[in-house]
Amino acid sequence: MDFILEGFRKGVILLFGLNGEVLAVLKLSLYISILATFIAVCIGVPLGSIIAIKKFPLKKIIIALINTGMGLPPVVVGLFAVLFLSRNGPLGFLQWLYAPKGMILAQVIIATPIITGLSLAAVQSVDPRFYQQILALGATTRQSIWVLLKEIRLSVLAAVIAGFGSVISEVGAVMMVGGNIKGQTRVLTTATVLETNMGNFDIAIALGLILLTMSFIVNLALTFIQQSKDRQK
Amino acid sequence: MTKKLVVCVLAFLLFGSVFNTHLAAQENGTVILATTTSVQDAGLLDVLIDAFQKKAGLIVKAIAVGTGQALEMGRQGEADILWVHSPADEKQFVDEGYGINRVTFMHNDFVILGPKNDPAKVMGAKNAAEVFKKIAAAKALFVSRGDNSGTHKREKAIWKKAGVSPDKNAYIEVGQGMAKTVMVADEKQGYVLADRSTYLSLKKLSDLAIVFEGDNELINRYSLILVNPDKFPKVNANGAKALFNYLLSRDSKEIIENFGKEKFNQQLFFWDLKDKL
Amino acid sequence: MIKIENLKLSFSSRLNLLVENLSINDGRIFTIIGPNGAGKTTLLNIIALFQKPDNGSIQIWGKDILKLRDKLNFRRKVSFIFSQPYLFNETVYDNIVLPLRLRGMRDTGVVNEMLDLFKIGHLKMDMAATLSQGEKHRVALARAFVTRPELILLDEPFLSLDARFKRLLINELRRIIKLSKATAIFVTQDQFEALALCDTMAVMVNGKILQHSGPEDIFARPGSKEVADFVGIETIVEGQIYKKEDNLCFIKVKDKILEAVSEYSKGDDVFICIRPEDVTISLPDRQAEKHMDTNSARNHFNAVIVDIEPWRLEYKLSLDCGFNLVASVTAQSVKSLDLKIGREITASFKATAVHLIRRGSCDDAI
Repeated sequence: MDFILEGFRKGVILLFGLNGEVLAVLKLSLYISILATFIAVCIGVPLGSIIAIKKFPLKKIIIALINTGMGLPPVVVGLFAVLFLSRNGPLGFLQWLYAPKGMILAQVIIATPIITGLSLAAVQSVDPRFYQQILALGATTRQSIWVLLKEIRLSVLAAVIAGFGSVISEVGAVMMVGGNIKGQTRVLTTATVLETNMGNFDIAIALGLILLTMSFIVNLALTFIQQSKDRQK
Repeated sequence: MTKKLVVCVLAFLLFGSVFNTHLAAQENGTVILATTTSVQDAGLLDVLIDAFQKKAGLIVKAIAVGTGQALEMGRQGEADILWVHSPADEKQFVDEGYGINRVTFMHNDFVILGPKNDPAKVMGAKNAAEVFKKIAAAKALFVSRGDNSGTHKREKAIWKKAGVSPDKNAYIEVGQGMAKTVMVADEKQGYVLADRSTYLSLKKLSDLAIVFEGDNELINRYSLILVNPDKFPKVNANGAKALFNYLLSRDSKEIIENFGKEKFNQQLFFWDLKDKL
Repeated sequence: MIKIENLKLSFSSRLNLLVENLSINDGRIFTIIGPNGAGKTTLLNIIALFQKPDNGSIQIWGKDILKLRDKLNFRRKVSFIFSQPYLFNETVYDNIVLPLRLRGMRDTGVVNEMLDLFKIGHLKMDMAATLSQGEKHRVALARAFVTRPELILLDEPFLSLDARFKRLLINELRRIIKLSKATAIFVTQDQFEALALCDTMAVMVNGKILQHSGPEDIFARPGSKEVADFVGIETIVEGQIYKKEDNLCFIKVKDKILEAVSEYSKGDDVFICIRPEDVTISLPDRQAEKHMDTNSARNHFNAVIVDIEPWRLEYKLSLDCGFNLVASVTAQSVKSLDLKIGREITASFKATAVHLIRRGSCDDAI
């Protein structure tokens, strides 16, 4: 019990004392995860919508693949990312290993199937006549998807929230691809692991609590957007 | 709504680019150092690397993994310089042509920790091997790193020297870092081989006591090895050499010898190089 | 002019849609009635380009729409009205203006026109989700008309409305369609809806069009057993209200006069519907017309039996009393009254048994 209280205390001191290292780690965590989520949304939401709407051969198999991707173990993603991005790997020339870009790539790979799968399910749950109604009003395919997504905004934002949650909390892939390098690729999750390994449990708890708080704030913002439509119902 | 979104995104990317320009400017001088978790967990790694980066204006990507993985990275040419602590493996590494300029430059020591009531009655043993013999004989619980790290390799070497194997039911392999391993030993009241600095930083939290120390076997020597640039052209030979020289310099000596003195009231790391700087 | 030729669509063993030859003149309201699963909605879907037929051609405005490259252009001239209003979670105004926005057009007052036309101006800034079912339908209609469509497809749009509201809306809608000079294809299972909103009518059963003519024709002279099965054997004739006393309407049908209770007005053209079981047959009475004073049935006619045939558990009598009238009688009655073709009898029915539907004329646009 003392641990946790001590952790709280330390967390507040570190955060509000504007401890340079902690702030750097925090900024990097948010930057990488928010950017990765954003890219994953740009890919996943339209992709999931189109797959839901169009008919094409092997549709069921593709959906099964996406659903499998939703449960992809992040550490496995990290492993493959390292293999591809290492000097000897096919993408070694990018020099993204042990750098934020590599971490963003790994997180995009983790978040995209989740966001795609949830968007897919959200669009599929809409009455197909409703989509036809949108077309009947004279919309192009692109316009139809945009209007449809606005209508199911609640579910789409749930997908975004799920995607963000999956990467902000992730430690395996960013540890492997980033290397937990101080000042360069150390994020809240990997820093927590490090402090634990060093035996600094109070700092580890503090970092964990900071992570939770930051995650909560981001999700609060997203939730407000999501639920704002409800006020008018 | 779309406009608000676009503005937010642009602002965010702008903010983020701050990170990248700082790093990109120095992209050219990047050195990949593969080292062990013990150096990182002690906190020594960060201090030395910070100092070097400020001085040399190079970026060091210090990747702390197990000794085993560090050597493997060297074998693949994925690292430019290694800082490890497993002499037998290091020698083999150099012999096989993967490394050049191996220099053993510092050491710290291991201690054997155990429960205060010392069920295997190891206190008073003459050497580390004897301690292990007694633990095996008493079938007392032993907690191992189990991860092919330098510490784990040393532990295996001591078992070999003692000529015994621990009882299968009294041996736990944690597969994680030193601090966690010690905490598991603490929880289960078993014996464990740990480096002194980890022990000191966990002293307040753990119930275990030092049951043996000071044996030659327990001296933990660290070496630097340059990854052979002839074998791996992608290696940043110049950057590695610069870091190599720095770590062997007087500045480095000072930092290493003074490390931890304030916090623990004792010296943790000892300089081994004769003064030829 | 819309011309459909050899349109075929088969999926699963259940339904085969086959329209060999169908023409609809511009500016007309063409109604298709038929039972559930007959293929009516499928036909509309094909015209709206939501479904692809196996083969066939549909010529609209000179082009075969099934072979169009620029489908968007065609779709933007067509409005499809579904059985559900499918409104968006926004204000009524935003819902109605959406089709304009999609086309990159600005609202130059046409939205307000629609609001007035469908009498929902007072709901302009309300959220669609807060409206009643009837109000939602009006908004959906306003939204469908805001782009001045040239072709309107209606798929059982009155399905979820209650009877009273339905009647009001149908009449308004007919007027608005005529005003817009659009061609309309209206699909329904409800015969009375069909009567109120049609210029020509077709009956579709099992994917095929069985009869295509004027409405009175279909009901009076069903072309086949399937059509008859669907439309039933009710009497449906055309007439005009020439006098009204309180609630009682006097209607001229051919050269006979019927009395009916209705709120319609003098001068209205109507369809008169009488259920066969409401018609009473009695032995001929030369004084038939005089029964008005001794009998609550206000309608008595001398009639000649033109046809007798078994119908479900009874018998259907086709009568000629100056206009076509259908009665149903039990087998016992046929025996006891010795009914046979050519026989003269008296047919009576109450004024309250006469169901009127106001009939629009082809150029109805007041």
